[in-house]
Order: sequence, then C-alpha cells, then structure tokens
Amino acid sequence: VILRLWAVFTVVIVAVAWYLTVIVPPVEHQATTSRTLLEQYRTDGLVPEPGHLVLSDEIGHETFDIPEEDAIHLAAARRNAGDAMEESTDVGMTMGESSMGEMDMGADKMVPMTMTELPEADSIETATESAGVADEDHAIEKDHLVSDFKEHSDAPVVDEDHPHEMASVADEHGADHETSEQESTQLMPGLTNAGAHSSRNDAHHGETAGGHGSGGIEVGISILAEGSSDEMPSLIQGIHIDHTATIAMHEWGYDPMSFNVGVGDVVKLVISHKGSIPHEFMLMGELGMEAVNYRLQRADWNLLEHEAIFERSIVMPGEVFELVVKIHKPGMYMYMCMFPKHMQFGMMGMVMAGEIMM
Amino acid sequence: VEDRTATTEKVHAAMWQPTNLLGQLTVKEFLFSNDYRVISVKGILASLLILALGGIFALTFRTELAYPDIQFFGARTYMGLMTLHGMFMVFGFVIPIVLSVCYYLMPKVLKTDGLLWAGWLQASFWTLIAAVALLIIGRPDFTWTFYAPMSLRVGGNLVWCGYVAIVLVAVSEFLAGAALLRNVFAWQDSWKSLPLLGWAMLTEGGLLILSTPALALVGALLLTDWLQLTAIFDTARGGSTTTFLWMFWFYGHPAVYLPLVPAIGILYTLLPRFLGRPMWSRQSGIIAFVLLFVLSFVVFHHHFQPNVTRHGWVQRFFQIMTLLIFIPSTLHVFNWIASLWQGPIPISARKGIPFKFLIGAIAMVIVGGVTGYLNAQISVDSDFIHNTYWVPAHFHAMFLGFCAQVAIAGIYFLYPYFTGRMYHSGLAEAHFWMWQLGIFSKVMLMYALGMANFPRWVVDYLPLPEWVTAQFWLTIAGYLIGLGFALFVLNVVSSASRGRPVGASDPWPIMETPLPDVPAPTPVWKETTK
Repeated sequence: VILRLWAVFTVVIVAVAWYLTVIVPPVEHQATTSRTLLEQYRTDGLVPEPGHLVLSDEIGHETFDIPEEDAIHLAAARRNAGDAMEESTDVGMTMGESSMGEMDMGADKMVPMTMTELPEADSIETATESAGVADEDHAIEKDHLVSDFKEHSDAPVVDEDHPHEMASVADEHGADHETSEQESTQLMPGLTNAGAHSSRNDAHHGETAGGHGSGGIEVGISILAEGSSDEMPSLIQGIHIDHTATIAMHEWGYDPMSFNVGVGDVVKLVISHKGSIPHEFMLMGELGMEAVNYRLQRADWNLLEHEAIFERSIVMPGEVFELVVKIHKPGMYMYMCMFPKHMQFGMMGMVMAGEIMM
Repeated sequence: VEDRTATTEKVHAAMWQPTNLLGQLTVKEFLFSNDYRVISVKGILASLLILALGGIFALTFRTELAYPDIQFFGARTYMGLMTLHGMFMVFGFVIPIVLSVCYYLMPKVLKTDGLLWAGWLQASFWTLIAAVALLIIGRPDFTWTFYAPMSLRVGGNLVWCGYVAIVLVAVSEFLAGAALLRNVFAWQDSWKSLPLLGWAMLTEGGLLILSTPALALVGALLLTDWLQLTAIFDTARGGSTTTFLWMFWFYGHPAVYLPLVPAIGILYTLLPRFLGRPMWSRQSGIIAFVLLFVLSFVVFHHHFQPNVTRHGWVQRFFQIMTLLIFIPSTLHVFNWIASLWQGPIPISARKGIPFKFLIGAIAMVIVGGVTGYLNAQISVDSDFIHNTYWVPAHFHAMFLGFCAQVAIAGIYFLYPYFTGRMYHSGLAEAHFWMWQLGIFSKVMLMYALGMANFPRWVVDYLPLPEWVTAQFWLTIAGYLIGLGFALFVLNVVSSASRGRPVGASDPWPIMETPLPDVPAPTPVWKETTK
C-alpha cells in the first residue's frame, strides 16, 4: 500500500513540478543593483556632478589630486618616453583623451583630469584661460608643459581646412566655455602638426585616428591613410611611400614580429589576416603603453578605453587592409591584438624607429 | 585481519530477518516513526522521488539540447530546470539516499539494532522535504552553486525560497551528521574493531558537521544581502564575491565527498557480504578514510581555480593537495579490486543484481577518478577543462556512476528486508544493463564534448559536427538511464506484492556452485507468481 501510494505521489509531484517549471516558469528576472557604491559616493559628495569638472569648485580638493606615487609613475613614464617628451612640447602628448569626458558612465567622469597625462589637463586649463574664465585656484597640477605649451601656441600650425577636427574639439570643451574655433585649434598642436603632412586626406584621417572615441594621435607617428588595397591608391595620391611592410596576423602572432623604419619615413603597412578567428590590429606608442600599464595598476580605471594611435577593432579572417603612417620621432611603436589573452599568446610586434633600431 | 562485517549476518542472524516491513506499516507510522528501518526506507523512497524529479528535469532539458537551436523553451526555463536538477540530485537525492541506506545498515553492522538520536534524523528528513518543497515553489534559476552576486540578481520575487532552502539543506545535513557521530561514538568495543562502515560514518559525520555551517551561513547571508540588510556578497554595495567562493566551496568540496564516503562504506559492507570473505585490508580502508577526511577540507580552491587567481603558492598548495586525494581514493579502489582478486567470486554473487551494480560502480569510479587527474592540474583546468562539459562528465561519473549505483545496489540488497519478497530479476537485469550502457556512454560523451570545449550551462549551441552528434547521443543515453529507472520503480512497486517471498531464510545465501536441489538465488518471476 505504501509503495503504491508512494508511486502515485511521485507521479503527482513530478507532474506538478514539471508543470510549474516548464509550462509556467517564473518570468525572467534581472534585478538592477539597488544602490551602488558610486551612488553612495555621490551622496557623500565625493564625486562631483557630471559636466564642468574643470570649473567645478568641488574638484579643487585633494580627492582628485594626482597621488604622489602616481606623479612619480608619470614622471617615469615621461622619462621612458625619452626625447619626444623632454624636448618637443610643440607636439603635446596625448590629446585625444578629451573625448573621454563625454563618456556616459559617471564613474569615469573624473578620469580625464586625474588620469594622467598632464598636458591634457593643462590644455583644458589653457582653454579656459583663453576663454577668459580661468581660475588659477582650480589648477589640478602645474607643469612645465603648460608654459612650454603657451610658448608654442603663439605659432600654431593652423590649417583652416580642418573643420572636422576642430568641431570635435570645440564640442568637447569649447561649448561650455565658448571657446573660439581658433583657440580650440591652438589646443591641438599635436594634431595640427601631425595632420599637416597630409592635408589632402585630413577628413578621412581625422576619423581614422579618432576612430574609437578616445582618438589619440600621439607624438611620433601619424596615420596618413587607411583602407583596402583598392581604395589605397586614391587615398595616397601625392604621398611618397618610402617603405612597404607586410604584416600577417595569425594564431598566435604577427609576422614579422619586429621591423625597423627610419625617422621621417612614410611607411605603408599591408596587414593581412592569415588566421582563423577574428583579431584586432592596434598600433600604440610607448606612452600609450605606459598609460595602459599605469591604468592596469589602478583598479578603478580598468574599465577605461585605452588609446591607440590606430585601432581596427575587428579584422576578420582573410581580410586585408592597408595603412599609411608617417614616422616623426624615433622610438618604439607596438602593434598588437588586444583581444583577451591574444597579446599574451604572442600577438604583438614592434616597429623600431630611428637611432634605437634593433 | 579479521573483518567483522563479513560475519555480521551470521552473528546477528536475528537482526537480518527479512520482513514485510512496508506491508505492516500504517501511513502514520511510515511518516513519523522513529524506528531506524522506517527512517531508512522513508529516506530511500523520498530520495527516489527526488531522483524522479531531477531525472525528469534532466530529460526535459536533454530533449531541448538534442539538437542545436531552440526547440521547446528558452534560457529561463532551461536555467530553472538545470538549477533544480543540480540541487535535487546533489542535496535531495545522492546524499540522502546513501545516508538512508546507511541508516539501515549501520545499526546492524554496529550491532546496536537501533539508532540513537533518531528524532534528529526524523527532523533532518522533514527539513530536507521542506527545502525541496521551497525549491519547487521558488523555481530559482541561479544554478546549484548560486554564485553571488548573480544569485542576488536573478530568480525574481520568490528567490528567497531558494536561499531558505539552502539553509534548510544545511540544517538537515548537520542534524544527520550529528546523529551519525553520536551513533559511532556509542561503539563500545575497541576502535580497532570498528567495522569499516563505522569508519565511513565517522568520516561522514565529521564532514557534515564541520562543513555545513558554512553552507547555512552562505544561505543566510544571501537572504540578508537580498533583503539589503547586509552587503557581504553584493559587489555593487561593497561586498565580495571572493568571500562567497571561499565560504561556499569550504562546504562545497567536503560536500562532494558527502555521498562518496557513505557509498564507500556501503561497498565495504556489501562486498564481503557477497564474496563471503573479509576485505583484503581493513587497515588501508581506515587510513584512506582518515586521509580523505583531512584532505577534503584543503582542496576546495580547485573548484574556482581559473576564476580567481591567487598567489602562486596558494594555487600550488591546492593543486598538490588535490593530487594527494589520489592516495586515499586509490587505497579504497585497490582494496576492492584486491578483495575481488584474492579468491573465486561465488556464483551467487555473480548472479546477484546488487553485486553487479557494485562492480559497475567500481568501474565508473575508476573512469571518473582517472580522468579526474586532468581536472586537478591547474594548467589543464584553466586552459581546457574549466566550465566545459568535462566537469559535469567527471562528477556524473562519480555521483551517478559510483554513488548512485552503490545506493541502487544497497536498495536491491535491502529489498527483501523491506518487503519480505525478492525483486523481479529480469526487470532488475534490464535496469542494470540500461544503466551501465546509459551511464557509460553519457559520461564518455560528456568527456568528448568537454574535450571539444562544449561550455556548461548553455541552452543553445552552434551546429558544429563534433557537438551535434555527441549531444544527440547524449540525449539518447539520458533516455536510456531514465527508462532503466522507470523499470526499477516498476520493479520496486510490483514486486512488493508479486515477488517471490523469501520467508525467514537468508535471502542472500553464498553459493559457490549452483546446485540442482537448491533454488536459484534469483528465480524467474513467472515461476513465482503462479
């Protein structure tokens, strides 16, 4: 009797549970986090409202100062970057990060100023000064670069044919401060200098260089053209190509892993995907690498987009594209695939320019 | 070395009288009696019910997984089924069923003919039933390991049922562990003479009471985190998922030995019983239990090895400890093999279904254990194995292939003692072969899928040839196991009234050769039912 009752009971329970689980399952549910740490920090007044970070009184206090060890780190990064940083402030460092301020995530709002590369913060400051609303007390940190920058800003290489770039700069910093187009151009000596070499293709090049939002044109190398081999001839009309380098990517590596170029050379890179899964092609300068390294050590900055001189975020198997770059400064430039683990598996290579050729 | 377990049934023949226990019980007695036989048979039947639940869920999502793409239901239903399958099988089936078999064997092997603290075992049983009921009501989809903060975000308004169920499972297991220890410590004789089942229960009790507080704490903290009273695990509010991992797996690794240790104990009891001679070595069995107990608490990090990278020596320590598990496991397995090897296997054992299941279980524990060598390596685990089907293959070989098969052997063995009748040997034979074929092919196909990097916890997959074929046959293997279980249930229910009565004689006589004037130990059903 008990066994039969048990069998009937089992059938009933199984049927009920099956009905509940399969026929009428609970609705799919994904609770949002109720109150994040960031919200708590906002409530505590530790995070300023998004927007006018530079002009806000809130940021004067030490929360957003660059910690001492970070300053040391940055100084070391500058030393590592070598001559490019010490001598030539006419080409500032990384300009493109300014667009980070537009990122949506509140947590990152503070970043463009603290993170880093002082010239950028300084240049914002300079912008506010030239717009007549600057307040020296708000300075985050002063640096010799500011004065250097000012000297050079007297004679910017202004190209009136650059509306695209200027518009983007003006959008980012000028809108609130009513910075004139001319002034905003002065903020971007690196951009204008680098761009001056290929004014014909500038509209295209601006997009390319700033392609993924952080858009850095770094010192030392500039992208003149990017496209498929069919488009390339029209894009590089009038540009003299000194070298052509063929780079093949595969699992796991680039072939060749390193090559040398001379300073001042215009190099055409023919990048082909010989592997079987999607990859990325990214070109970075030494300073960019330092910035990534630096940020990796700061847990709260891990989620930031990294800046690259050039990034093509998806290269499909079999795809071939070309890139024309001009080398301005001696140094090391790296290309890599930053998909998770790919670089660790060996997908990186380097371009050595100038005296430190291998 | 004298083994008392081998001669227990001779010394205490009175205790081993087959009776129609189930036929004599009223429903009220069945539900609430503190008699150890009733608690045992109740636990077995409830575990089989939960096995039916978990099995139906498994077959349901296996049907969905037979072909790529979505056929019947989507991810929410799949995750719900998968979660309940995992929780029912681990907490509701495999641990309780081996314990329930031990509840029956232990008083007889330890010659007490009664369980102390049986009331706590009763409470343990009903707590577990409450947990199962809560899980059916709540239908959470947070997987059976309920990693935070995911388990705090999914599941909907009824997810608290899941957290409470976790606490109840912990309470149930703790009570069982305390009662087991109490009964082992009631052993009056010298510790040297404690039967191996007693050592198994000692180990099991220690594992239970030391590990389950962590589980109860995890469940309670999940509840308070969900209610926003605390923020222990909720990363958005400053909690730590690493804390969760360390707390949960502090329970979780001993937990995977919770079904293993009683199963080994049952094997140590039944194997000499069928062979008619003591185990090859008592000493190695005791040493292995002690080692297993100690090591089980210092290997848990391998469960989340690739997720959380630790200092190199922390990782190396856990890897070395994990590899050391091979020593007790191998001691056990070679003890069984040597026992089988050291003399002829009686014809009664060869024809006995319980013995066949024991042999099948030993085969599967070797399959699961040898391949477990790969899981234990950090490098292989991180790069190839973790979160692939390899891992379910490993623990299905162990849980289903070993623990569940030993429990089934125990149930077939105890069947005459519960009903006074013998099961139908044809159905049992069919059940046995369906399970061997089903479990072996299922486990092997899961290993193959794991080597093809098939990820765990997916309802849909790419139609890669190496995945599609294996998934299809995996589903067939699942159905085979399900069919075998259906035959088993049919056998259990129908043989209680139609099986051959065994009378007061020993239902498991040891016979070296089949004699014409002695009735065969497992006669054909048709002869008996006329």
